[in-house]
Amino acid sequence: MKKENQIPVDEYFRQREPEIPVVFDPKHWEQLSAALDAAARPEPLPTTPPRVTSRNTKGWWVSGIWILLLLTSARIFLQRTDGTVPAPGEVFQEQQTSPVVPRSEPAPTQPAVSGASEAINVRKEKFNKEVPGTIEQNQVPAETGRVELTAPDSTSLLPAISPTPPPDSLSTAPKKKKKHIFW
Amino acid sequence: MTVPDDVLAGCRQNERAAQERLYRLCYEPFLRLCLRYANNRDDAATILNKAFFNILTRIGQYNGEGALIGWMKRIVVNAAVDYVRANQRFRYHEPVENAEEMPGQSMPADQELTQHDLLTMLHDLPYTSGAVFNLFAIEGYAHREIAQMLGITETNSKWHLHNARKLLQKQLTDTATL
Repeated sequence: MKKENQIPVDEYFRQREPEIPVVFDPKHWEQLSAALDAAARPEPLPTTPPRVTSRNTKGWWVSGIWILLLLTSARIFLQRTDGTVPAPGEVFQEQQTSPVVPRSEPAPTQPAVSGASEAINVRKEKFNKEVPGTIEQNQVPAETGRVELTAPDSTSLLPAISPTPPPDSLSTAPKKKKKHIFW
Repeated sequence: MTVPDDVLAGCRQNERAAQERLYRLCYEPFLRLCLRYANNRDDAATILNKAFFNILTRIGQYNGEGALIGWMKRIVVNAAVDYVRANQRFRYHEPVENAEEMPGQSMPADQELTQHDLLTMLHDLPYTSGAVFNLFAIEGYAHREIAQMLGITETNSKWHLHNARKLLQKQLTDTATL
């Protein structure tokens, strides 16, 4: 019985295999020598600091985007509540020139000082019509000390009222409204 | 082929000159072995250098039992098998019972084939079939060992051997008739 490894094909290749021509190539030894040198050399310790990778800078990008989103949403919120959103430069000018008036109170058409003087003028005219040349003590409070009594022959018995407004007038500077950006 | 004792001692001491002598001594037979498994000479040289790197860095593990050449050849064959497994493109199986019987007397004795043709015929075989043929017919491994090395079953190894023989026989017959 013929053995399995005595097949002629096997024998043929086994016998002719050493005849395959091979020539030594020194380049192959150089490659191996370089690999052996690299393996024998200990790896140097890293002296340079580790590079900033994209993973580290990613946090800055995310926080920047969040800040941008918050500012944009706050601006949109203010636009919807006030109706208009002035430019940053306009807001600065408004704060310097005119005081901010609360929304609940009606805005005065004229300055507070002129309003007080108008009231005084009306009162003066009324007084001249009722009692020409006379004055009643109860009409003008004595404690004000601003009514000057003159002789009856004098036609101008009008009290000299100084233009200073009473302390409870609207001349006091209104408080600035606090704008809450964040809710 | 025997390795001189001073070369072995020098390699154990990691002397580069002794390593080069051993490399030059074993270069031809081992590169020829690698050529049978690889598709081209560059790949064969890569397999050889990878195997020799393992040999020279682990030569301290050789305890003197058996021939040094046999120990080295085993490492080279393992490197070649790793190459085959990494480049294995397909694996198919056909029952051995269905395979045709090998014609025994169709081998012409005076057939003249160049060594290039010989290598070309081996490289034309399917990857696994060629590896099994090399391991069984030329290196002399058993089917059980081949199955473990290539990660296939013994039956599969037998079928691949039969397939390789059939294809090689056909190529030889075709070349003889031309």
